[in-house]
Amino acid sequence: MTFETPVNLGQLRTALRERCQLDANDPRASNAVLNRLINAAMHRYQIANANGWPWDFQEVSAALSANQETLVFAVGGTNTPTKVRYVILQHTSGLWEYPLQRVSRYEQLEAYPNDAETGAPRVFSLMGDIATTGGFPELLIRFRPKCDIAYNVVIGMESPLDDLVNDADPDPATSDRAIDVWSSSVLSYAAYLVYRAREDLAEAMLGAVEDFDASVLQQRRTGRARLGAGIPLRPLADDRELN
Amino acid sequence: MTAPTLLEMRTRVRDRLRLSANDPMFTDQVVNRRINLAYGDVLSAVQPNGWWWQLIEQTQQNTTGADAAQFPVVLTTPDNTRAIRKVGSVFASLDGNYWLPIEPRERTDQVRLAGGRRTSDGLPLSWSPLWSPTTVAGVKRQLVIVFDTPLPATAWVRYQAVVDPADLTADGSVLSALPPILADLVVEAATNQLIRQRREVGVVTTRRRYATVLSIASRALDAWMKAARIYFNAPSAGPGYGILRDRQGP
Repeated sequence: MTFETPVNLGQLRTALRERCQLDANDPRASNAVLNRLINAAMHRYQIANANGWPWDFQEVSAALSANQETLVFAVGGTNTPTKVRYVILQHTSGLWEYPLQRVSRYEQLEAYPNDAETGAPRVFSLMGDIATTGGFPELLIRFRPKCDIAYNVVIGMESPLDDLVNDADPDPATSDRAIDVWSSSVLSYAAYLVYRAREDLAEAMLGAVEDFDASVLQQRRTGRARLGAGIPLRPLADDRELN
Repeated sequence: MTAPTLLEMRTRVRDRLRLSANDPMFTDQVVNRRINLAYGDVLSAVQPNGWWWQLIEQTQQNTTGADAAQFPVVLTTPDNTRAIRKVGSVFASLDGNYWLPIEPRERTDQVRLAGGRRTSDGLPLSWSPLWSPTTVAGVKRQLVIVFDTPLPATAWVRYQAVVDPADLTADGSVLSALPPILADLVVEAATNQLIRQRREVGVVTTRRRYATVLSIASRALDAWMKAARIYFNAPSAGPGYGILRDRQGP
């Protein structure tokens, strides 16, 4: 038996039980309950870095047909974006490509006020959209001018890891996500949630939150320097962006 | 990721507090109410300008058959149970094809700008938002765009708006107003309120320990909300209001 860094849901759960000294037969800490807490901790971890974790960056291709003006993505489900970083317009045969400029919708309509105008898209804007009833919120990319002929676009997006459902998730054979990097952070936050449910370990609870904060800070620093893919050249002044 | 339903959210809240589904102090209704409150908080109080996915655009025609000094801002069915909280970036068009920006003005400036003219004369010179109490029966207050000069009959309006979520009314209601990655933030916000309603019987604790638990929990929740706001709000990090900060949306 090995004692490696937990890399999937089953191993994270085992580690969580160890850390919080939970009994495997505790009906209030069943597998289903702990799985939900681990997933909650994972969501918390995902948004802890405003720049996005390097392994969340993806590129997807989409085809645009003549007269097409919009692309819609549901924000949820599998491999869907929480953010769009860039859009690259391509010739359908791969002869050329160039990045589109992102502007606000206001600027877009100011520069291209005619809905009927067609041409090679130059700018794109991002907004939400009314979700299908009972579905996910939607991300709407609008192109201007709208396409005169067919094009391809490559969309650079941030797509958080899907929920861990099976004990073997994420499957290293099919996922390139570096779960072992963040398992300690996720474990800390899940431990906090467990401790809080028990309400008998205030100090341990505080310690778990502090562990999480410290590990996130550490990873944000090292992640940026070592893994540059997709990280903006100008780092965000995270906290100042709010004010 | 799947979009959770109210039932799943209730299960998660009960997990976090180790509540029994049979606890008479925490019936389904009690937990549902807290979830709905937290849902509204996360979608409005945490982000007063609206999260980007609440920021939508609508194009509507003045079909009243007359010039419209006040243009009601509504969603069409089945989304008309959702309120529109803010509007911005208003454009108008006479043919529904070619759009010109209309500038916002304070109400009295609107009147001065139009030189007191009250009849429409081409596209409006300015707009301002107003809450109107005199709308369709059953709708208490409705957001309208006040145009000065009035919007001509059959002219078109295009605007950005921030829409609020519809309440979760049934166990099967889906949290469709926010990405599933934030559903646990709603759970956490609801949990933090319910902790305060809980009275333990037979549990040995002290007031200090209880207060410590509450303060750690609310600190963790604050950090979560702040992280979410930064993650989804930074203009250079994704969908937002665009590049120019002085031209932000509603």
